[in-house]
Amino acid sequence: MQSEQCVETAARRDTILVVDDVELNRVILSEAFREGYRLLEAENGRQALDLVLAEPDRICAILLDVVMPVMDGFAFLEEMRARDLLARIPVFLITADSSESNMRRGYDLGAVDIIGKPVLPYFVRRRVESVVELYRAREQLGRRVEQQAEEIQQLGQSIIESLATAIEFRSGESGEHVRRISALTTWMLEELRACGYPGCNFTDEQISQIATASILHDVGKIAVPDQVLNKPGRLTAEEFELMKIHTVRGCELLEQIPQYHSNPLFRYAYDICRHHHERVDGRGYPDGLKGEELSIWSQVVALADVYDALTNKRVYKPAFTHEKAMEMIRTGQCGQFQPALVDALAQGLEHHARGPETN
Amino acid sequence: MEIQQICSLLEIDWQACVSRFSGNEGLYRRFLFRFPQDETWEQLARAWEQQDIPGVERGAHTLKGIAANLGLARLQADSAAVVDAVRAGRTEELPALMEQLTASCRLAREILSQPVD
Repeated sequence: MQSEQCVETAARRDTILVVDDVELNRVILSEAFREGYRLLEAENGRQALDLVLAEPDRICAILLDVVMPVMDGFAFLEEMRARDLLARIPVFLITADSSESNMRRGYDLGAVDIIGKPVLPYFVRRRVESVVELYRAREQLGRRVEQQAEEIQQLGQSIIESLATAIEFRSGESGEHVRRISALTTWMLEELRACGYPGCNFTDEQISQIATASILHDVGKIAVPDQVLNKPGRLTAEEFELMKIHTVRGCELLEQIPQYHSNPLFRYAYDICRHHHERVDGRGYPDGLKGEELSIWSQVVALADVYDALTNKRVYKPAFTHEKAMEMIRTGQCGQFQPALVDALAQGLEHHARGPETN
Repeated sequence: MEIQQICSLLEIDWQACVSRFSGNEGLYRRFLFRFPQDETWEQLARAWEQQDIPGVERGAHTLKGIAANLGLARLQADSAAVVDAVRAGRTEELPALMEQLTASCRLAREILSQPVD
């Protein structure tokens, strides 16, 4: 259905704009296109520009005289170029002056073709129509490519979500956990950006990449045995070592992905997988990094993961309230976090009426 | 006067002209017989009277375009000669060329003002 829509948009370009100060010239050109086109006429460049700006998506070609009062053809071309309209709307210069310097100036200013006066309607129509077809096809193709790129991106996103959900599923989680982590990550990064926190001047695209990467934070759990992953009680020291290994296994797994080195998303994901159990005081795992050594996104996902684990039921614990969870985080019962990040979490939840599920 | 007569007096190629109007003969006729009322000639004559040479060039250029579109070959050639002379700086030729242009313009206006059979 999307591609049908884009065909419609391109098909709406049905109007030829004729610009000439002499009525006779406009009449002759308009008559040549009366069949099959909607026609607009202007007496000078100024009028023509107003008409173009009023409906830039409907005009399929402009037939332009050069010598006119108020605004001449060359000035009109410059205005069109300044507004980036020449890539979408072909302009034909219709001129009696076929001197080399005049033609060169016309082409340099972005005219697609130069037609000598007096015009021969049959040939004008053929020349104009072949260019209009070309522009129409190019525009449709461009739209289609854009849509397909978007569809591919969505597909990629859903594959990542499926993979992550399949892994979460082993530890009795639904797909909700990964979606919540991704929402919490987005909100915190937006809060941090809004308050100008150092290193958080992210673009929307970067935030979206980090949020997608956050979904992959636990992919390494695929390497953790079931009996450890789903053990209701406290883990033994040995079992805990096995559990901790999911951070390293996760980024090893990501390294096997061919696009790893070119895609920024996977670089975020690698960092997040490896370091989402680190703590600012250096008492996390696997590398015991601290403070500045940790990226902001791995810290954000670490906090989102802890908050989500606290406020939802796990095999080894009940669900805590938001207030209780925030208190446990602020008092360092789940390891040390930067206070600014905890504030961003609180504010993000506040702004989104507490809880990603309501979104 | 008959159309055929008008064509031969003014050197008009009727079929070529109608096709310039995309086959719309009525439209061509309307503009052809409206030529006597066109004000370009008056503007050009005024400019010449005042020795306003750029004005002469502009007027002759516009007249040339109109003549070309209406298929008035003689008028087109005589206007073009004036435009070319101004652009080439040969102003000494202008009196003779303007006289020629005046004659062909007057002829076209007279003939096109006659009732058509």
